[in-house]
Amino acid sequence: MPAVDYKTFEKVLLAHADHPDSASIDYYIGHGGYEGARKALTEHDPAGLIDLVKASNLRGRGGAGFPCGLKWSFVPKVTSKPKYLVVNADESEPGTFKDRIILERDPHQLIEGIIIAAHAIGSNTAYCYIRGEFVKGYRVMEKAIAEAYARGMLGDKVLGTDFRLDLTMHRGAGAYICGEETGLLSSLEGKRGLPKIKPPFPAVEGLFRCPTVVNNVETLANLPHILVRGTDWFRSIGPEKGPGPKLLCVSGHVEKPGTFEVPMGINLLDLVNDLAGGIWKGRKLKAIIPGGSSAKVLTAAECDVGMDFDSLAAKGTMLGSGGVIVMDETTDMVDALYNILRFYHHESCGQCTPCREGTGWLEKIVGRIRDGRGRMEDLDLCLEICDMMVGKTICVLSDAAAFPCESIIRKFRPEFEERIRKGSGFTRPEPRPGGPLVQIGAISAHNQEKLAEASAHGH
Amino acid sequence: MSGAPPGNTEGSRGPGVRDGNVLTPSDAPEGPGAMSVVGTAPADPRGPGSTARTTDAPQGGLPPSGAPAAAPPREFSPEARKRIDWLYTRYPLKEAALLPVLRVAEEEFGAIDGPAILCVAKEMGLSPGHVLGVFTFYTHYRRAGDGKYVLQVCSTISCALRGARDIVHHIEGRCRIGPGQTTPDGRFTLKKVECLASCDTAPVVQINDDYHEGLTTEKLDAILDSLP
Repeated sequence: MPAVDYKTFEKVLLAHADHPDSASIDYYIGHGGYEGARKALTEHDPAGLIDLVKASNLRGRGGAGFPCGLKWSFVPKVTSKPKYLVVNADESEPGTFKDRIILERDPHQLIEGIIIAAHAIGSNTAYCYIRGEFVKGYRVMEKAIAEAYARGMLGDKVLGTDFRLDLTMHRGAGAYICGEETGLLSSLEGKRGLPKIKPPFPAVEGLFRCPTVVNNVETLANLPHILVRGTDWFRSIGPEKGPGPKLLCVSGHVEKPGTFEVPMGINLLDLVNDLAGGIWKGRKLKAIIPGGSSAKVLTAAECDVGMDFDSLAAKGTMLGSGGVIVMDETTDMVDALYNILRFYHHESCGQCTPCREGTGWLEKIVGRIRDGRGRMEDLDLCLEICDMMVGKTICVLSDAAAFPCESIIRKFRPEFEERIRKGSGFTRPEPRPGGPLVQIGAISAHNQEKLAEASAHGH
Repeated sequence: MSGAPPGNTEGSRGPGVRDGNVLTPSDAPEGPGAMSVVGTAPADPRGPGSTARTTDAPQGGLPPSGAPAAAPPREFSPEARKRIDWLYTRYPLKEAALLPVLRVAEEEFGAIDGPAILCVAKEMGLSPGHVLGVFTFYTHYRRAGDGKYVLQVCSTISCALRGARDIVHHIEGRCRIGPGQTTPDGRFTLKKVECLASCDTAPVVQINDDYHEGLTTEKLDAILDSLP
């Protein structure tokens, strides 16, 4: 594959994100905003719009990379039930922070995308499920929605047409599992965020048991540009089968972490070494997790890869949510894995046994290896547990915990073995500043006297 | 959330970070039970006779339902009721407004406690058990016993790689509280939380509604000193 030219690439999604007024409707309209929605409503019928997005090869940016137009086409054309569009703004995959930028800095781009998608599937009601922690994003979106209603972009006559659309912000309250689309729908219905068995898929029976499409923020933000600039333009960016501009989030041990808008298919090493300023403190690269903490890890030798759905899949990992987590040579992989597993154990909803128990077991076993109490057979035990967690549950949280565990143990096995052999060779951190809160296990002076007394009497 | 308490990330199981990037475990003692306490929660729901262990109140997720005597019933103000009536218009089923109504209750009463659960249940025509069940699934609502400022330190991988452990460590030393605990004066609660989606500016602390990014211990001190 020829190298993707990222240096001359002009930003699309974040073109205006750095402008101080980028969140205002006047600024947005002044820079060609809502033209895509106008075209969608006046020049395309829903079926034509679905075909157009299918032709663009736009794939979902939330993690699974499912073709967007195809997802829309599963919604029944004729139904007596209302249809819903739900925006997944519950961005919580560790290492991912791209949707937050759109929500906080270019909310109208998202609202325009919502109008286009709602028209395509024939929905008059849309919800934007935003994670509870994003208070700023929530406020910016609320303000933008109020502006959009006032200017006739939302409401009974969207952009002067007969199309009606209501959009409501819905705040989550701190649960990773609500980023899974059926868990999100449960939460939106006012329940615990428990994922549901598929089928039926949300397109047939989703929110309030009605046909529903759940789309990621970044996916929707692409739509206005596809409408205005055309499918040929979109397909010309990056690989044919999954093209377009892509927001990639680089975090961890790099000099300049951040969100970078790049053409799909950029080489991972270009991203890390050039755009993100290279590994920090002049150190060497050890490993990269390319698509949020659920993705399988790549060793330094495997990082010469294009950042697109198919190239990463060919390497046995995934683009996921585009959260690139970089680890330098000093990183303790045992502890890094422990941190990841603790996350999944904490966030497992507990419905399915393989996930509820498996995430806890993995956390415990890797925790004891980290603490120098591991056994050599623990490594194969972990792999066996991972095997029993993949594809065995209602949703993919279980798989998401097993992938990093399996790949990190396989690829960095000597490091784990060494930790196990060393036993308690691991260093306890220094005492907390200001002295310990309490003396754990310490015997009070009073009890020491008692003990001395007792032993003197031969007890 | 059956596997883990629905509160925050637990004390000693958190990640540790030393020298900026080498991860080591926390030095906190094993489990919340092992940690005795410096001072009691400002309003200990279990009454004055209970052993002071602040960890249970915010982390167990249960509002102080065991203290009926000290809990006057709660009522929504007319403004809050107006907001709730508007929320009902946004959903085809009233029940769907539960999460936003809990937010209204959080704002109205300062935190979600037992009487607030009963108030929301009565308002929405739901069973208190259902409301409590939903409430305890989520970690982000303010709970009874939380301090004026809830310091939510992200301790997931990207922040851990860039020194989140030092931040937790610093707060522990400065405020003399462990994760899940509240200072005796009720000013600060320390919580270790999962990814806040601000990994490029790690380490990050969310204090009530606001993110504070790219922290160093000096910056954190300045922020904590400047809080009213």
